[in-house]
Amino acid sequence: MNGNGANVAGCATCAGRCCRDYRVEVTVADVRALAAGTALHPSEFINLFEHDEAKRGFRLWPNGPFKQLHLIRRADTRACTFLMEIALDKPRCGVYAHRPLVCRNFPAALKRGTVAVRSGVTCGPNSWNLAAMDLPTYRRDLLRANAAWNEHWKIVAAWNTAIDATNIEKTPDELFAFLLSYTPEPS
Amino acid sequence: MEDLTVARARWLACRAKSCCSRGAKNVTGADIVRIARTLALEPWHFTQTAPAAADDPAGIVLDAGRRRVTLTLANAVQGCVFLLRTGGGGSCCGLGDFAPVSCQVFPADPTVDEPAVRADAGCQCREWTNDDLDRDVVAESSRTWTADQAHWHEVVRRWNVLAANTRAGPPDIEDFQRYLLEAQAAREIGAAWPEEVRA
Repeated sequence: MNGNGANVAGCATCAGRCCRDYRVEVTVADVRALAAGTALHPSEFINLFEHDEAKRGFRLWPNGPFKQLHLIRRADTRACTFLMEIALDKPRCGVYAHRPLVCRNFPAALKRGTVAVRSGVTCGPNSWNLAAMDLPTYRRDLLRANAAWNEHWKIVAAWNTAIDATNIEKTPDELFAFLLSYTPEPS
Repeated sequence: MEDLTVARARWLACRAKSCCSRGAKNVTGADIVRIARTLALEPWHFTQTAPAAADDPAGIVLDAGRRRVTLTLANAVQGCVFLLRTGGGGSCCGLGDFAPVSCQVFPADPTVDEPAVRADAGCQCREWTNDDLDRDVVAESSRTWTADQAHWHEVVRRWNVLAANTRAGPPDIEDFQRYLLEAQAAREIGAAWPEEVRA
C-alpha cells in the first residue's frame, strides 16, 4: 500500500492478510532493493518458485522448468518472511521503505487507463476507498512497476540465453549473484 | 543505495545483531511517537515497562505512587520486537530509518559529549573502536538524542505531577502514552503543553 502524510504504513486496522494470503512474486529490481536495504542475501528471502503454468522465468539448466522470484513464506505462519508480528492482530511490514513494487501498489491496478482497486482483494469488498487514496503516487508506482517488469524479462532472457549456451546446471546462489551484479547494456 | 557510514554498513551486514537481542536502550518519547505514527500502531502495542530506579528522571509514576517504571520497546523471543530474523538465520531491523536514534548511532554512545563507542556494545564478532565512527554523523545524532531526551524527561516529570493530582482514579501506562502523543505533537508545532491549553 501507499500511505501518505506522517502515517506511511496506511491502515491502523490492517491484519496483513495480503502478506499471508498471496504468493508475492517480485522483480529483479525488488530483489536488489531488498538486498541493499537489509544487507540480507537473496537466499534469505527469495524462493525460486516453480509454477506448472508459468510461461516465463529463470531456468537453472537448459530447457529446465521456469522459476519465478517469490518472497519466502514462513513455515509456521505462512506469512511473508518480512512480516513483523508486533502484537495480537498487529502485523506490520518489516521492510516498508524497501518493499517490493507489488506491495507498494496494493490494492491498486491500472484499469482502462485509470487507477482502480483490484477486484477480489483479500481485505474484503469495500475495504478501500479510492477517493481517499493517494492516486498520483499509485499511478507513478504502477508505471514504475510496468517498467520494472519489462526490465525483469530482459534480465530473464539474458540469463536463459547464457544457460542455454553453456549447457551447465547453475545453482540458485549463482542466479542470485547474477541478479545482484547484472548491468543491462545501454539501449 | 543510500550513503552509509562504515559503522552503519558493518552493523547492517552483521548476522548476530547481539545489540538487538538485548533490546533497545536509551529510547525516548520522540522515538516511540515516530514509530507509532510510521507503523500506524498505538505506543502500547509495541512498548513495555521495567522497574525504574528512584532517581531515574525517566521513571513514570503509576498506581498512585506505588510503582515507578521506565518505558521502552517491547521484547519478543528473539530480542527487540522489531528484530526480523529470517529462516536462514539472517536478521535486519524492521524499523530501518525509523529506528530509535540511539539504535541508529550504534555502536556510538549517544549519552556522552564526544563521539565514542559505547562501553556495552556487546558484539561477539567485532571489537569497535572510535575510528569506526563518522564523528560528524554521530555528533549530529547525539545532539538530536540529547534534545529528545531532555523533552522526554520533561514529559515524564509533568506527567508525574499530573498523575499525583488527578481525581479520576490512578492513571495507567496507556494514559501516560496518550499524554506523550499529545505532548510530542505539541512540541513539533511549538504549541503549549497539553495541561496548559485553555479553551
